[in-house]
Amino acid sequence: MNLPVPLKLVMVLVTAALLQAGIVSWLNVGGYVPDLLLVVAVAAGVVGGVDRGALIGFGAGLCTDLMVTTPFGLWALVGCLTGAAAGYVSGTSLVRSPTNRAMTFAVAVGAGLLAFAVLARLVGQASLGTIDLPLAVVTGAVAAGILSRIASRVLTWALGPDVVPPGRVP
Amino acid sequence: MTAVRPRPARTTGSSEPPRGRRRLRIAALVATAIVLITLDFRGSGGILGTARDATLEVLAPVRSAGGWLTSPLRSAWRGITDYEDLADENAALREELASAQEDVLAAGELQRELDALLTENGLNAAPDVRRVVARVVQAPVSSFERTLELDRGGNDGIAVGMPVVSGGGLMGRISQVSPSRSRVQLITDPEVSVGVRLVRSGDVGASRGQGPDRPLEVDLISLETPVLPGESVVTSGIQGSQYPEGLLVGTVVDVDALPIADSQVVMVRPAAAADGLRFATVLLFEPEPIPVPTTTAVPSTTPATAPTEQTSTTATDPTSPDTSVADPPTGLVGDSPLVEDDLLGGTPGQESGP
Repeated sequence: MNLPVPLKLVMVLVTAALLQAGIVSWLNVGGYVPDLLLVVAVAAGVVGGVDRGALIGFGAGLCTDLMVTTPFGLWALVGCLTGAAAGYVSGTSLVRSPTNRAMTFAVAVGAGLLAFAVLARLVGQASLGTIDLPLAVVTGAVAAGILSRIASRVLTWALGPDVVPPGRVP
Repeated sequence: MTAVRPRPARTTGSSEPPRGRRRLRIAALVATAIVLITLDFRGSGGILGTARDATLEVLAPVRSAGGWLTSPLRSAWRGITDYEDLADENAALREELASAQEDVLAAGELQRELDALLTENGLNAAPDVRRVVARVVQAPVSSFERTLELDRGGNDGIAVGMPVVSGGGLMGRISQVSPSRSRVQLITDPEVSVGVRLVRSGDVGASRGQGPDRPLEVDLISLETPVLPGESVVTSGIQGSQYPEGLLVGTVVDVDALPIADSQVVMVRPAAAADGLRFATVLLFEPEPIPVPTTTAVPSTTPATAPTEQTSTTATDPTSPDTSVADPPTGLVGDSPLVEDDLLGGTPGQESGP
C-alpha cells in the first residue's frame, strides 16, 4: 500500500497518542509513565535527519500538549528541539548497532524530559518542582531504549523510501 | 557466481534541505511554540482550551477502554508487588468491618449531634449543595501531569472551579471540564491556594500546597494566635471564595513562628489523600456573587475610614492582608473576590489552566 508520507506520519502520531492515552498511561509506576510521542520525535530525527526530526517532533509535542494541562506549546517546543538534536546523530555509528541505538534513544528522551522540566520551571510551573525528576527521566529513558527498534522501523516506513533504516549502512 | 545487486542510492535524511533553510525552519517552529506558550499564558488561547477540552472528550472512550484492557495486567502487577501488604490489609479490613458494624448503630445519634455542633459553630459544610460522585481515572498521560481525571463532566453540572472532596475532606478543585470528563487540580499543588480557618481560634489564613505527600503550608496566621498540633483546619468560605465554608482541609502537624513577619506558618496534613483513590465527590457549588460597593450610598462628608470605602480599598489592595486576617470571617478579606490567591500574591484565574 503506497500511502503519501504526510498521511502515514499523521497515522503514526495519532496511533502513538491513542496508545499513550489509552494504554501506556494506565501502566504508570507511581504516576510516572513512558512518553511514546517523545520516542516518535527522537525516532524521526534518527531516521529522517534534523529537519524531519524537528517537524515531526513539533507535531508529536503538539499532540501531547492537547492531552495535558501544562502550558500549551511547551511539549511542542521540547519535541521540536529533541527531534532536531536526534537528527544530528542520524547516519552515524551512534545509531547503527541496536545497542548503540537504544542508548541514543534513551539519552535523547532523557535529555528531552530534563529540558521540559527546566523550561517548565522557567515559565513558572511551580507544581513541577514537586516531581521526582530522576524517576521521571529514568522511566522515560528506559522505555525509549526498549522501544528504539520498533520506533525506528515505524518511522522508516512512514518517511518513505528516501531514508535508510538506521541499522544499515547506505 | 552470485550476482551483485547494486544498493539503492539512499542515504539517511538524503532529502534534507540546505543548512541555512533548515535552521530557518527550526527557528520558525521554535517561534511558533513560543507564540503558543505566550497565548496560553495570556489567556487569549480560547481556541487552545477548546481544543484541549475536545481532546479530553474524544479520548474518554479510549481511556475507558484502555483501563478495561489493562485491568488484568495491573491487577497481576499489584498482586505480585503488594501480595503481603494485601494479606495484612485484608485482615485489618475484616477487623475494621466488624468494628464499623457496631459503630453504625451509634452513628445516627452522633451525626445528629455533630450537625448541631457544626451549625452552632458556623461549620456546616454546604449541606444543601448538590453533589456528583465520580470515578477517578488514575492514568496520567505524562509523568509531569499532576491532575486527576474524573469520569463525569459538564453534562452532570460540573464546572471549572467547583470543589472536589473525598471521604476525608477537601481534595482539590475542577480545573478543566468537557461534557463527560473533568480534571481536578489537587490542593497539594503549589499553584493552588485555599482560604482556610483554624477551628479553635477562628483565625483565617491561606493554605498553599507543597506537592504530593507533603503538608500544606498555611500562612498569614497571627503570631498571637495559639495553634496546637491536631487542630482541625477548614475552608473559611468567606464571601467570594470558591469553596463553601466548613469543608475539612486537614489537621495541624507543626507550627513555625516568624517573629519578623509577626505571623506564624502552620503546616497542615491534608485530610483527603489522592493516592489510590477510586471515587471523588464534586460539590456543585457556585460562589456567592460579590456585591458591588455603591458610591452613591456614601455621603460626601463620610470620613476616609468609613466601612464602605475600607471594603472597596481592601478589595483592590492585596498589600494589606494583615488587617484583614486579624479580623476573621466577617472581616475585610471576606469582601475580596481574589482572597485565596491575593493573600499569597498569586495569580487569580488559574482555573482555566495549570
